[in-house]
Amino acid sequence: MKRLILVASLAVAALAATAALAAPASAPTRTPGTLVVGFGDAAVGFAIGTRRGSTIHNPKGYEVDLAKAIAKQLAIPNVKYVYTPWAKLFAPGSKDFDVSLQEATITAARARTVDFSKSYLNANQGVLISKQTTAPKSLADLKQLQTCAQVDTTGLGYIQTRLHPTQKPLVYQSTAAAFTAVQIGRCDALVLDVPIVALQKKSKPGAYGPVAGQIVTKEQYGIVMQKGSKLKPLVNGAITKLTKNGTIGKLQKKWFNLNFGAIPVLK
Amino acid sequence: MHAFHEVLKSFFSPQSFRASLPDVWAGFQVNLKMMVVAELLVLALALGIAIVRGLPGRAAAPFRGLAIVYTDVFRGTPLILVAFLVGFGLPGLQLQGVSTRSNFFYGVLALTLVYTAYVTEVYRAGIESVHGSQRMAARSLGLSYFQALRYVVIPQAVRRVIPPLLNDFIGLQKDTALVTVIGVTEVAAQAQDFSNKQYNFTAYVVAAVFFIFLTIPLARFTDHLIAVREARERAQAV
Repeated sequence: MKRLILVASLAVAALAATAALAAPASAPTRTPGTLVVGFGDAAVGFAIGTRRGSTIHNPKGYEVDLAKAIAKQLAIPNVKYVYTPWAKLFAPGSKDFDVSLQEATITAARARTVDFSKSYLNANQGVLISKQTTAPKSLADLKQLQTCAQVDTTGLGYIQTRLHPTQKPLVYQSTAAAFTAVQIGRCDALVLDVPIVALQKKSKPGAYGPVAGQIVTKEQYGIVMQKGSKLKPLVNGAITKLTKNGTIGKLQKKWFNLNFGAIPVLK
Repeated sequence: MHAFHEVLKSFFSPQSFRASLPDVWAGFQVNLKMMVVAELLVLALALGIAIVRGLPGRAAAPFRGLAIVYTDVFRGTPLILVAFLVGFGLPGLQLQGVSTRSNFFYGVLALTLVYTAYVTEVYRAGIESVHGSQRMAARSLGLSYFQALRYVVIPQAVRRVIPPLLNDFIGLQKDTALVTVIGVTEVAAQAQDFSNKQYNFTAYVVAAVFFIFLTIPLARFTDHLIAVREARERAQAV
């Protein structure tokens, strides 16, 4: 009897060992089997969901679908959505998400403290003007307007380092506050990524003036990950595959359906 | 040891201290202007509302009620919410005169609304702490109600509540940093801007140092006033 049990347990052990060796290594996420995706405040067309505590329920948008597609590519069965404030996104240190998609422009300065994936959307800077403002025809016109921007964005960086307007820009903590400022006429022109302003204008056409133009900065959005994340090569591989098989193109068409190229370029 | 070194580098870096000093100082000047303007308004308005609160008689009941509602509402609402309501709501109304002010104006308005409510209660406590015999003696000398207030009660009341008034002033000084949320480029906004670009939090420490240098002398002065008051009130007749 004892011998039978010994043989049986050895067999089970051998079976388990081979099963473990044969199973594909799951992606190195914080919790195995779950991809924790961090989203920020609601962004029209990118990710809008309901915030409850630290999680986001039922988000919908381009970045949501992209995250799901990447999870599928990497064979990660579960996806969890958490709220990650923009203000902390590029701060050095450990993150409470695996990946975060928040329309984050890839810059060298940010890449010192976080890891970026490959680009998943091209984005120049866009200029959204208020209803009472006459559209600027050039950057020289833009310099005369009262600009505003969101804190810690490349739009604000552009205003401070390249545009040098005559009046100091108004800086707001959140995208929503900046859009409200344009709506109520606090500032004449908001400088923020073209996809964000174009989608906001499309969703609330009566609240703002037109998207007066775009400033070519050749910026790109990347997925933010903790510095040194082991997911980076996997995520990059997934993005490459999704670009090649046309998924990313289809998602962009589904959510944006806008010709960003039609917006006049301000020089 | 490594962690301690990281904390020093992140929060107390001398290079960042020097680099952020000019911008943070420029922002702090905005806070200084806001706190002076707001405090002057608060001291005047709160005294008025406290007097209204204490008006006797049935005819004054609606005014007393309004004063009570005002203090309850604005002591109960967090300053950040009042700042949003004033800084985004008022311009959004597109009313002439009200909607086209600067963000600085709205910041001062929000601070004044909230701190007037607190200081009203401080004044009221002071007025009620003056013994009723003072008012009765004044009336019996032929002074009217308002003359009694003006010459007898208020001077004593205000002298009594100077320490709590200074306390609220210190609170006001620090709350000026909150108006960054409506787009005022004051010290917190400048410190945040520097920190975001340099990934170093020393700028926040610089801003905190400015505030501490401002409030410590005021706090010691308040202590001194309290001590002087105590000595005077307990003075023995020689």
